[in-house]
Amino acid sequence: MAIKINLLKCIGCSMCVPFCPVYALLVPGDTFKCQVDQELCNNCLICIGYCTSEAIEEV
Amino acid sequence: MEKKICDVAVIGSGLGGLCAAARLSHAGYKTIVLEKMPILGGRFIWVDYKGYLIPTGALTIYYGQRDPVLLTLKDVGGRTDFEMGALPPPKWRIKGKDYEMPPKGMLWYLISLASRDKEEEERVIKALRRSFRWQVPSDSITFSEWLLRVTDNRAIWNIFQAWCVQIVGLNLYEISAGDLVRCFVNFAGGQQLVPKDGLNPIIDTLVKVIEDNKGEILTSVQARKIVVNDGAAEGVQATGPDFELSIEAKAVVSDVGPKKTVELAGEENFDRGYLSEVRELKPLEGFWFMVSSNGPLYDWPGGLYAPESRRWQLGVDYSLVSPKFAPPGKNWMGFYQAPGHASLYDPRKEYELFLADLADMFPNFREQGAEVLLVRHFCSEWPCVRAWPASERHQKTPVENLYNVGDAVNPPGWIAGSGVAESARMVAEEIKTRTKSGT
Repeated sequence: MAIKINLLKCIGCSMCVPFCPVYALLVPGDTFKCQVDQELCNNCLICIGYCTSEAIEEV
Repeated sequence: MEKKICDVAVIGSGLGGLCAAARLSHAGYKTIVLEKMPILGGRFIWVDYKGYLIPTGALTIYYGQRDPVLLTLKDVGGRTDFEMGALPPPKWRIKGKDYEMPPKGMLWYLISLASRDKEEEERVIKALRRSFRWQVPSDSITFSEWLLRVTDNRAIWNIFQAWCVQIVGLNLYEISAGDLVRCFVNFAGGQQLVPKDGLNPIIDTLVKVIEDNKGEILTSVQARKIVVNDGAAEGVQATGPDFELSIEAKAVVSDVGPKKTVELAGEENFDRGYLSEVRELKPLEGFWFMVSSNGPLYDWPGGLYAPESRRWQLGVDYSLVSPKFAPPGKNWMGFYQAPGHASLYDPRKEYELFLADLADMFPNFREQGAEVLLVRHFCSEWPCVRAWPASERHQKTPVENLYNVGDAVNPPGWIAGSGVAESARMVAEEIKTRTKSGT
């Protein structure tokens, strides 16, 4: 299991960012779309529950 | 399917939902709160991020000790003994010089600084006094239009624009004259407070009141349907991680915004006029930037207004209020930015403007190791403010016993969490008048 960001749904609110226990999520100011650092991500899926726009998908 | 019976079902555990639930539980109403996220409090909590304590949304208690949030805690017998830091008024950078504000008469002082001559100063102050004390201006013109009738002084316009952007979240040419004046009048004399442990103890207190009064709070449970029968709300159907839930209730309070409320209850239960009003609600669009640094970028806890910056910035170093907000040796400032025109903006361009403003406001920002640690873009229903401030918003809906609370139904003149708590008070009072407790 891993996560993928649906860029069409992500609004860049960063609500999910601080809840990632390994700081694998980032919203850069040049895109305002969430990015996942796959090397850091431990696939815990916690972030899915915090996404406000259902943009984080389990793949 | 699991079944529950209660007096009031509350959808959403943001500040509005919890304030309403706490008031009703305290009054003896069996209350059940449903929250789809794993946490409670929505945009009214602070979370740890890389050692910094940062907000999900709300930053301060806007109206000091008379704030509806604190009044709610007192009304329900909750604790109010939080250690609070009072924010002094921000300094204002006008024509390149930073001015400390007097404890009283701040607005008049600012106008005197920006006026071209004494005659202009007196004319503007007289017009404002009349709008505050005699008659609130019309809602059919913007505040910008109202002000331009009194003066064409750009420096004065910038002061009002900066205040409007930072407090209300809109540009002067987007808010009605009446709405902004109501906000001014309500805001006058208040002092913003910041709990030194963040806002979480307030949410914890509301939760404790609800649970102590036999209320239930269910997290990771999403409302799927508001049950309406013969024009009246009768309960909620919801889904949990591995169960389905049916709640029978005498009243339903929704803290998920009027649009979602309509979706959950079904459009067929609302008249066309109400649906049209709900469709016209415009969420506030904007940005919030968090900048960390090795030491303060600006050593004044009230922060700095820069009305002549590209985006009328206000930067506040909250870690000067409480050392718990940042790791040792570190600071962070928060900035809210409204785009130049709602819906007609490029987020990347807005970010560039922010970085340019930051460099101008704090020339030391590179030496201080400043970096943008978090950016937030608010542009849809949730998690941004769900509606522009407006004079008439009804908490009651056309469906009997179905109410909205939250920032889309703030009463006139009330902003942010304070308005949310006030909307919850009004709904709780209405339910107490109309609905008997006891399941």
